[in-house]
Amino acid sequence: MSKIDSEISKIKFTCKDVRVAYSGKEALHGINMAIDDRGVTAFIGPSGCGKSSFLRVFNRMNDTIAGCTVTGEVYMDGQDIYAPSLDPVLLRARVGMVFQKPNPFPKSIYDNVAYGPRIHGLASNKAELDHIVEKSLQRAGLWEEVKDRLKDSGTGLSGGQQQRLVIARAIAVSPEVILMDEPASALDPIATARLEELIEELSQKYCIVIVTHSMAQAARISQRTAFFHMGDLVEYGLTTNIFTNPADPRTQDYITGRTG
Amino acid sequence: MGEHIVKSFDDEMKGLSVELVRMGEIVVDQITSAMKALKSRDLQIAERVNKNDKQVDAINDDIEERVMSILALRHPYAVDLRDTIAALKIARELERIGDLAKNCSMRTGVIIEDEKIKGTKKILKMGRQVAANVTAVMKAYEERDAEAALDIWFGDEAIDNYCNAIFETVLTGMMADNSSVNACTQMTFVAKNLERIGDHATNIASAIHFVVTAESIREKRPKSDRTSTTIFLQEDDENGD
Ligand SMILES: Nc1ncnc2c1ncn2[C@@H]1O[C@H](COP(=O)(O)OP(=O)(O)OP(=O)(O)O)[C@@H](O)[C@H]1O
Ligand SMILES: [Mg+2]
Repeated sequence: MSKIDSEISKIKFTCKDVRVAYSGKEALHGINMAIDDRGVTAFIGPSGCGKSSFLRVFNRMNDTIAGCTVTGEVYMDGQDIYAPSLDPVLLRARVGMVFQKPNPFPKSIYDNVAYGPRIHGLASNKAELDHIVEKSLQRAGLWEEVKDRLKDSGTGLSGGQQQRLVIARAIAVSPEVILMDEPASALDPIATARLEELIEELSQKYCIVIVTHSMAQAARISQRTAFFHMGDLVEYGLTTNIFTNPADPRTQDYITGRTG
Repeated sequence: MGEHIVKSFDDEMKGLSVELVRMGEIVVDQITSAMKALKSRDLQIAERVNKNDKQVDAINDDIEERVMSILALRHPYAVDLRDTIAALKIARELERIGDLAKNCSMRTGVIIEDEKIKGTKKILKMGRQVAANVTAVMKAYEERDAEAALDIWFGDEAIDNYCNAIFETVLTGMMADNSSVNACTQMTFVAKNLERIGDHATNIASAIHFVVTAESIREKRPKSDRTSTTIFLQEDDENGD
């Protein structure tokens, strides 16, 4: 993506001095960044640098962790998502999340996908719900494999299929953003390629933020990459630039596998 | 810069570098020998240059293989990626330089048949300058010295001037005595070959500059060189940096 493209593309999130602390101990030290709407933004960095903590800022998942406090400002389409009037449950319908370990509910494949639309009242009858379930499974690239066994348990699928089921569940509520925390870490190369193809397709419509430990994956699928180090955002820019010519020596050491 | 955590990766990158430096040494030796054959009117030396070119080709193949394996198995990024790609480029330039040195030596036979041929001294001088440039550029590679690479890149003009001077001498010679047309023609080819070796050395210089700075050397053109700055400035504007 050239600079011109990214200038045209809208900003989805703006963060100002975002700090995350666990029981008072600061894990993220004042992050300022803007995240593009549409396209894929990758978060990379050494284990424990705060990638997951920062990802959870965008759908207020940190609120559910005891002892975790978030300060600073986060705007989604210009709206303060930490405003007291904002309902985090509704926010999470707009900002879906896919975790490292696929976590289907111990329910049928159908019910896994229908869960969100049901609680948010997105379908007024069975036919509409059927349609949402089918469309979501299709978009997640799972429909052909499961259409004849929608009543089977979601937990009986393979790891790669479960990951796609979870993605179908996430997109069933028509979110605007999908956050992914190491979604491919348990997948084989074929399942990974399928997932990456899916991410690329979804990125045409959604804002996708992905945490990955695979440099190759970040390089393949994202347009922008952010490098975090010990709770700081060290470098953020076009993925091509980060992987060919990073500006900060810490980024260079990390992506080239050097000791700092 | 720090070492790679995976030591064998470090070893592979160093091995690539060492092999390239060795290739550079052989290639310089090829240029020097080709000139020596001309100077001492020694066809045996010329023949040896001819044969040795296979060695240069073999190293080029070896470097291609090493680069392929690093790309496939190590997935180099940032400076490692630039370094790996540059090795491939530089090996190719050196291989071409080897071909040109060989081509010079193949013309030696005809040139030395002509007892009265003029301009040999100038050719030899040019040959020394060209060999010195290749040596210098490979030293800049070994030391990853972007400044030195820049100097070599700007210094190429001197070689172009040599070439023009030789063309003048040889053409005058041909007009004065048309019995030496054959030898003179070969001589102009040798001069042209040397000039092209100089160009390949500047390509190497630009690859080195890119490895170290991640910037194209062309952006560094001196202000005095109007014609080219205008062109490159336009390109820069298009790239919009
Ligand atoms: N629930 C928690 N309770 C206490 N501390 C936590 C909690 N979650 C994260 N931390 C701390 O916050 C810091 C950042 O952790 P985080 O999980 O965000 O890192 P990460 O970059 O996602 O690491 P990894 O790549 O290993 O997943 C770490 O020091 C971690 O110990
Ligand atoms: Mg994490």
